[in-house]
Amino acid sequence: MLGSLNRATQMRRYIIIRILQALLTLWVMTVAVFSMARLTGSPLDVMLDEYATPEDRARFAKHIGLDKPVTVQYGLFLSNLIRADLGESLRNHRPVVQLIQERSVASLQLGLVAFAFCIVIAIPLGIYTAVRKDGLVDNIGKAIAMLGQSLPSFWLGIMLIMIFAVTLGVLPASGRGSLKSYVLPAVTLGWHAVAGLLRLTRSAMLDVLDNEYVKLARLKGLPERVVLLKHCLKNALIPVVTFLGLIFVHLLSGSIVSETVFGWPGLGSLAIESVRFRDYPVTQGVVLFFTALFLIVNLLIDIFYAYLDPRIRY
Amino acid sequence: MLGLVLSKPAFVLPLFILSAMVLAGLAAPWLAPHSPVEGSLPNQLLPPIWHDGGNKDFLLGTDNLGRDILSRLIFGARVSLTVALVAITTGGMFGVAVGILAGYYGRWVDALLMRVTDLALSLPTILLALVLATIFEPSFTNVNLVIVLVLWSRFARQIRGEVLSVKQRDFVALAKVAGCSSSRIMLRHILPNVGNTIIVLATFQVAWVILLESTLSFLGVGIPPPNPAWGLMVAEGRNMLVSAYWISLFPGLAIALTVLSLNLLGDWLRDLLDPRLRQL
Repeated sequence: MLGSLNRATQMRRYIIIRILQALLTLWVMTVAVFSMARLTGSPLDVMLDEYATPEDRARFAKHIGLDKPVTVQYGLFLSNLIRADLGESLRNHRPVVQLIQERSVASLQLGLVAFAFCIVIAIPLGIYTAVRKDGLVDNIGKAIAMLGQSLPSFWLGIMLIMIFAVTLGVLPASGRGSLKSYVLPAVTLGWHAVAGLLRLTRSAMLDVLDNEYVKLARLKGLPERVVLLKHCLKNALIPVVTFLGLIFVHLLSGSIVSETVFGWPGLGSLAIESVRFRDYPVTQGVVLFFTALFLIVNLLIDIFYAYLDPRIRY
Repeated sequence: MLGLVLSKPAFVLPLFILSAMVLAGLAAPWLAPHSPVEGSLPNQLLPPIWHDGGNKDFLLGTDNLGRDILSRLIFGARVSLTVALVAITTGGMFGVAVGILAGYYGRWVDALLMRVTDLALSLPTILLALVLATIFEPSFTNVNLVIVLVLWSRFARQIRGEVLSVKQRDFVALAKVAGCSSSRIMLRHILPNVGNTIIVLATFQVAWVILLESTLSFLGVGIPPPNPAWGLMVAEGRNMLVSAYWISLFPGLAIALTVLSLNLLGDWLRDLLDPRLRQL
């Protein structure tokens, strides 16, 4: 039945269903965040600090509609969300949206550096290990990939601090400032992704190297460099490019750990600080912001992938 | 079995590490020389035995509260093991059940269950843990809750795919003809045939659970202090890297070795039991 629909209709169907799915996940997260604050008894205790006067409490109760039925409260919560009103921090009484804006810059910068680090290390190494399969570098690459899966990144970060900041004293242990301060947090953040990307590039290259047109190109007597770069790499890059989007998602969630280890003033450490001070409006805001970002990126990857690969069916 | 293991010398080490970890977890009260939570302040920040000032009563040194690192490591194995066991038995069993039901019944049952599975798969675990920890105090229960909430879907997805192909095989059709009930077919005919997949999957997922639990504990949203969770121990030593590196070094090493061994073992089991999974 699906086969009779034309390609454009199918695509549209797929994209609509994916968008609905993403909205469903986002909705579940809002319900989770909303109901958990109420599960404790009174959301006032979670949303206001201990210095709140009875008048403050009454005013806030009215603001979130505590005297109304739960469904109305949830509606209010959603409409505040849509107007980007995430409430105020309990710690410094600043709007949560403003805090998120401020901290985003540092996170984005660190993410981009880590992203560049992944590409620069993993793709050339992946190509090289595929060409020289089972060589020394290939075995080192396999070890890197295995370690990337297994080393906890928070511990890796701490060991890097111990080696490069404490023992050798060549790189700063924390904070954001000079270019040097980006090195350790970015390596820690990108480490897992390097392992994944390395494996993927290698296996994509191996697949391509086996093809007839590669053999033909070689038979024609083309120089190896041209065969590898022009004939192989271009085709091997398709799965690699789609993986880059996933890496971005990965870096997003990884930023919480890396920023905590290195005291990087980004969104991840904002989230952890808010947990430490039990600043629920901020936790809630950052969590919803992260979730939305996650879903949007994932959605874009899926749509992009569906365009690239016509076999994808919902 | 022993011959099989010995035929692959490379796997003696991971198996040895994992056995040591399980043994440490099971026999922690008898193996550990000191209490994992009570310290003695006169003994605080003792270095490991191979440094000057090391004390032979505290082989791997002590932390800033004078607690024995080795004893905390041994009891820490118990924490990781318990979390992994609870997560895999509850989340794993539930996920396998969902996967078999979805794969066997197909149609709307499959569509419905798989939508819920996709939803659970897309939940950001660390973020959920943050929310739980801000509202409620971090606790063992919260950690397990967050992990299981996502873990089951990882089983369900894979098992469902496997069931789809097992269900096409002749013996299932024969069982139907012979008048077996659906529940009997699922339990007696399908479940044993996805057993290998479950074993391989569970090995990798235990590695994932241990890594996730230690990350949550490190961030302060997992196992609460003074419990000797490995991730928590790494966090406790963070601010003392210059004066007492051993507080963070050893627990991190324990996590890395355990997870590495599980991943190696998983690779090996996959090649041995279920070569079709290779492409994953």
